[in-house]
Amino acid sequence: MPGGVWRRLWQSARPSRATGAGPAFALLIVLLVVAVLLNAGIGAVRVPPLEVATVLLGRLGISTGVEVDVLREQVVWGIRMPRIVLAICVGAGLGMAGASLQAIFRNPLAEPGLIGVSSGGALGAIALIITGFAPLGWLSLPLAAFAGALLLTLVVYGLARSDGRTQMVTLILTGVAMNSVAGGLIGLAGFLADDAELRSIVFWTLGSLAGATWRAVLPVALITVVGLLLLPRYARAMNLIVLGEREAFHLGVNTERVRLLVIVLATLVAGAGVAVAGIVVFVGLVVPHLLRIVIGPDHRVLLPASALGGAILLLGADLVARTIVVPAELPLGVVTALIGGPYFLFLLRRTTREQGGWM
Amino acid sequence: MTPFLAADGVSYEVGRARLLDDVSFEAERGELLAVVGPNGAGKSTLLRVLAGEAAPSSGAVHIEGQPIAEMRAIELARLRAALPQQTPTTFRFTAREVVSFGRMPWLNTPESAEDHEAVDQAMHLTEVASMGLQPFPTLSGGEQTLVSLARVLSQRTPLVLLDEPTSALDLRHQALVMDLLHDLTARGVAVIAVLHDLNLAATHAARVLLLHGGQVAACGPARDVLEASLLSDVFEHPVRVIEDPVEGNPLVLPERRVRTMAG
Repeated sequence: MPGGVWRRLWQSARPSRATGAGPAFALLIVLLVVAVLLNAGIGAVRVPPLEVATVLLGRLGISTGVEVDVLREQVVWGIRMPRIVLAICVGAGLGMAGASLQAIFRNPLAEPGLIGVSSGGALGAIALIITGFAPLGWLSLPLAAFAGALLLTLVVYGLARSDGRTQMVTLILTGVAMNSVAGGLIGLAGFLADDAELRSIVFWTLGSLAGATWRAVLPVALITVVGLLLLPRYARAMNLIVLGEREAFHLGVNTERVRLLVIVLATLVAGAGVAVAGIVVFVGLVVPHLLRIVIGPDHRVLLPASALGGAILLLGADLVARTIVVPAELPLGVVTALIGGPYFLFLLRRTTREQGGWM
Repeated sequence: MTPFLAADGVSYEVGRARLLDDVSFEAERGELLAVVGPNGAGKSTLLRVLAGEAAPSSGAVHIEGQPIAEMRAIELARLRAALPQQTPTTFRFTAREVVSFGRMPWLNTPESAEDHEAVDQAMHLTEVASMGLQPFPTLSGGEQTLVSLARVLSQRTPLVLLDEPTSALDLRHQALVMDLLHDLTARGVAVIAVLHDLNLAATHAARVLLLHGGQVAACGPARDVLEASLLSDVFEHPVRVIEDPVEGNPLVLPERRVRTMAG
């Protein structure tokens, strides 16, 4: 990873971090474009970047004058682009949700999975798989997953509240407890399931973007975009909460209200992705950490950067997932865990050594 | 005339513990009120209630006649600034960023035109201007206190609440901070500070509030409150009070307890 380059670029822009965010964002956007071109071009049918660009620009009504044959156009637009858009939505949602939750919990361990988004989503989906209950056709499964994510998160939040206040440690411990209950239920479902159902359950708990079609992706994209636009409104409040809960109140932040809104919005953006892609671990945890090291903790910059970073990471992981064991496909969650875990450990050790601290 | 700040019969209970018991007092603008008392007397709790962080179980706090319980967080933030004992963040905001957070309550108001000047001035006054780019968590405890104090100053509120602002500071910086508080009062700010050091209170505070077991043991001019028999009683340790030969204010000296070894 070009961490060193980023940092140097960034430091040249200091001291005014917020206004000096330009180079980092430029780099993130370039990486995102490159990742999109690679994901759209690589696979059983190879499509050169120029032709990919032609297809995409063609959709926007811009002609490059390059000829692209119909099959390739169909592969790029009909098959790979929905998957790419889904990867961007899931990654951006997890990235920004992770950064937001780490802020309001003032805890570097916070991520969407911790407060129940992932296991709630999986439980909702698995309940449907096992019962075969599908009143709304193809929409049933993602809706059940989304409802499960929201429900379990609210249960965790509700259980952690007392006297109108939320102790953050209580909330995190409640999340841990509820996650283990959910994990037990998922295990029980696996025990009761037949072979086909079991495959579905495994698919869901390990995450995959293979189910992406435009029809499935568009609702996710819509929800994600709304969340991504709303969460940064609380960036300043997050800065103050990160400084200290009491300090935030002293400086005029209604911390309980901000916290509830941020939890709901973060569940929305992360849960929408989980609903179609299953559980994708580590993105929500790793991406904000990585970016905080490079660009600092100001959430006005960190939130959009985490969305971009999450999208890039997920595109990269999905590229690996579907090309490394051709013609089969690795579960996405396996890739993010196998890359994310060790890289996170490496970062943790290096940062602790160099800076004597984290974040 | 309504007092600037008034606590009326404030009690605060957690479970069965009564941390504050019917506390009443007033404070005016331009006055430095020191809150003193033994450990566990309720000093920090009182400050939390005055800041609006903790709602009293009974009684009320008023600022300019208005009950703070009815104020929104942002309204309150434009009236009072507060310095907790320590700011626990591990996120690497720079010292200057932390100070500039003091301007947040004034976002989108005409006062935000003063943002830059207020931050610069506050950092200059607390002598932390040179630390501007250093990450806050890497500063020493004393430096963090000074930066946090700069944040409080940059907020430019008529009421300032401080919880042991001097306990992490060396002698010179203690004097610096106490002088700063004097300057604030001279500009019409009401300053309420929890002070552990009775002599700092004696030297600098016009009035002293002595808490004991959650109750007001005494409140009034330093000379009246810092009185040997009362202090000996409250702190459960014999003290002598003498007069500072130069300034004339009271000085509190703990007696050495004569210990007899067993046997």
